[in-house]
Amino acid sequence: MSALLTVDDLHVAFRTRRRPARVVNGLSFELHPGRTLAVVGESGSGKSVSSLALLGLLPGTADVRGSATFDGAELIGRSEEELRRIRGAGIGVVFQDPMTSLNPVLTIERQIGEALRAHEKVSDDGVRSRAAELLTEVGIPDAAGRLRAYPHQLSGGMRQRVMIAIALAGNPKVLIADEATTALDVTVQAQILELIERLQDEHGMGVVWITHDLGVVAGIADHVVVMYAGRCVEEGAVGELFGRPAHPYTRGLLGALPVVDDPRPARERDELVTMPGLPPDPAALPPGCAFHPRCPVRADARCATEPPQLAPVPGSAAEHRAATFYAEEVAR
Amino acid sequence: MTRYALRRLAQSVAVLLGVSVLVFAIMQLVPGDPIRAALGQQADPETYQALRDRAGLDDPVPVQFVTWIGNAAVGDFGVSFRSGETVLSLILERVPATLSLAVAAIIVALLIAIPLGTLSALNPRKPVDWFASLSSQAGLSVPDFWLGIMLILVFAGTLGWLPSAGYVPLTEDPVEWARHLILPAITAGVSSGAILTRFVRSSVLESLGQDHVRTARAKGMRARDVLTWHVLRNALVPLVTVGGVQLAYLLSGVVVVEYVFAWPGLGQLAFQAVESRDYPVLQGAVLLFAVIFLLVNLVVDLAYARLDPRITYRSAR
Amino acid sequence: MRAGETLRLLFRGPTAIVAAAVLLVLIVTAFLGEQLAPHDATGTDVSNRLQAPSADHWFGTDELGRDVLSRVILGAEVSLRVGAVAVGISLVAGVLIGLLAGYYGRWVDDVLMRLSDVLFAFPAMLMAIAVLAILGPGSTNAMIAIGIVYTPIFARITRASVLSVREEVYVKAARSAGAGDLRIIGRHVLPNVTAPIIVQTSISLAFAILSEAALSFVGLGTQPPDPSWGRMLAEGRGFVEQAWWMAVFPGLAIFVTVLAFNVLGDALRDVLDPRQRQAMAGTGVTA
Repeated sequence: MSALLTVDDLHVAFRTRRRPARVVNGLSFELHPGRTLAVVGESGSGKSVSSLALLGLLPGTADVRGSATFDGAELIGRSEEELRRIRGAGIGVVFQDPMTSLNPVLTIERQIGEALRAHEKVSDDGVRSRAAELLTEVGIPDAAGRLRAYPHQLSGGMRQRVMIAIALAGNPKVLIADEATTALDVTVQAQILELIERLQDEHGMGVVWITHDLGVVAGIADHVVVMYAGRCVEEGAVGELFGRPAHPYTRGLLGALPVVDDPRPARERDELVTMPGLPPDPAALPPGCAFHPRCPVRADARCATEPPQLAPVPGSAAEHRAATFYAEEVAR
Repeated sequence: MTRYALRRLAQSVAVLLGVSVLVFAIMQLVPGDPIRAALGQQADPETYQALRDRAGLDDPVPVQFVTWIGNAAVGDFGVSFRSGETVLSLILERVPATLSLAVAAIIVALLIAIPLGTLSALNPRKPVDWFASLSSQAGLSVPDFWLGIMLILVFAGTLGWLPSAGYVPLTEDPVEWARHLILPAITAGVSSGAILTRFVRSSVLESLGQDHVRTARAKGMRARDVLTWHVLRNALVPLVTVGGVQLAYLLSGVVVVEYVFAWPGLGQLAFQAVESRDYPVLQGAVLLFAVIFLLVNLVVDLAYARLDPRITYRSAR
Repeated sequence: MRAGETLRLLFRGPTAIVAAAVLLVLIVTAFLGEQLAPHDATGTDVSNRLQAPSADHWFGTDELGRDVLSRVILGAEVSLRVGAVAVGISLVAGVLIGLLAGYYGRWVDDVLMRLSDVLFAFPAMLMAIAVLAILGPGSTNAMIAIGIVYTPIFARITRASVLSVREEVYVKAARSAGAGDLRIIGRHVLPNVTAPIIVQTSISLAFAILSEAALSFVGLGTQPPDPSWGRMLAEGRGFVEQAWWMAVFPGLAIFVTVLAFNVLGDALRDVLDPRQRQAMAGTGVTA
């Protein structure tokens, strides 16, 4: 089965007054129809920027290089008008904060209607009935009545359902959910996760789920990409990645202790395991492995000089790969 | 919404009360006998006494104030020391001219501010932004009376395209009305345009960075529609407030522009009243200006609450 | 922020440098007026009236044969003096009122701020004219009138700054340590309000000079034969068809002076008080 969305060696850098901020540094992944890909990382790891780069939604100060193909057609470097046709109709997006992501001064009907009208000619009545259908589909009761509402008149969960309705309006083949549940309560989070899974089944969409929360990913993803400093540091099928995480950073995210022979005293090791520190400044990435200043293992001189490449994790399926010199030890 | 409107109304009434005390004080603060000052020493004693009685100047001050404010509340501001006409009729005569000028000037201001402010926000730190910021500084700094004279010099004098001064009522001859209106409207509109340009720029810049603009683009909307419905629409909602303040200022504050163009508006009336020491007319005009200013501000605040649904929500909660 | 650092940031860009240079030239002109003027500014010479600009009279001559350049040079002193005194009045009165209102709060605050609401309800130019209607025309009275008009804005800015520091821990600590009101105001409150006040002073100077010119233009400000720019413009207005130079040069002088104060005020705001930019954008505080 051919991939719906393929990202190959994507780079994004923002021009700043000083050095360029290299936010994405060679990211690659594939998404197949009906499957769910999770992209996981801390804030600042470049996961959201990557998705915006695919759609050409980054500001003019961003330099995007590499390749991304949707349905066999290249996205990077396409004209604004060609990208516009793909936005919403080919690839839909649900953003993090439904309060600020919806326009506060326009009605729900208007905002869904814009998504419908962006790609085909629809009559006013057509917009109204289609918008009501969409609201019903995303589980909003009294859809016809809600059409006249403004975003502030809805609860957070309802607003996110409206965002999903907007993303579905163009019948996209790919849905990007960018931290789509992060701003919500836990119970609402679960409802939204369930909703997107159901819609994915019904529409056969491929879903890219961008999140910092591995817990969210566990139940829904097929394949997971873990990002750090704009790079994929580990990827694999969800079961393998959760069962045998091979990168110290993935271990950290999972809150597990790396089991490795460490010459340092246990006290020092314990402190480091909770992943202190911050992701590196993208305008001043450390040489070698970008993670090494925070790495609890880092027993090799190469860590500070030579960036480790993604390589199959010994003893796992071929698609489970990690970019670390210690895959074998960590995954043990 | 109603509670908010009532509270705003009460506030305005309180300020208006303070304003009327100050306006009343004008007559009291004039050194000497205001009527004597207005009429001169050789005035006819009968006229003098009639005006004194009409103005109630022989009553104790608190009685005078209560009488004055009571009359003012029903539109009776007394009679002119000069012509003997009621102040109200003098004011009403001037309303069409002032209204024409203020509305035309605010249109000029918006025609400058919206395109210039938007273009400069869409091209930050580009030449057009630099040009907009320089011209808004210049617009704020240029003396309007000088600008008026220069426009007369060029367009009425050298080119001879437009009349140099005067006013023709709209009902009399719409074409001449418009021709006479152009130069004063530009003169009066430039400084408001400069203020509004800065405001539009910062408002559009803020609007551009909003998350919902990104959502609109992600829907696949055309750039022009995103700009109109998500950037400008949201940026211009607060423009109602600032534009309203400018309109209030134009309705009442263009004394000097009216003077330059011999425009028979309320500003001229107030100014002539000062020159001829016609204090009841001055009081009436000043009070009216303050009322206009408060009223426009009130209307603007309430309109703003309608345009931005979130405000209604907050006050209803 | 130290003064040196402030100045370095202020003069990063060319606009602030140019504005400051223009103002420096103006101030020097104001002080040396008589010495710099090429001709006698008040001496009339009817045989030489309404002469176009020439090598001898760079800005031409007026209807009484007086040298326009010399009168523009002497006008600098009038404009700057009236502007400075008027803003001085607003500054002292406004800061005092703002300190009282902000620091003592409660009814003092209520009374003073409602009073400033009332003053704000009058258009600036009209209020100045009304004050002059009471006091009578003249440049001294114009200073007082303009001073009254711009007092509320200083009061509001000061009050806002005081309110923002009044609840700060260090002010509370000073108070509980028994420091007197005057000491707290002098040591903790005043230094905090300096930045917005400096910015407002520069901007108010621009508007005060503009207001003085407008008042003199309509005959309520500086009286003849003093060479005020507004007055000269009023005289030139009558001859604009025959002698454009009479109206052009005094107006340019006002324009350049006001522009310089405005540009400097803006640059000062960027350096000293970046937050205020937004807040002030919509208040429409103009002449």
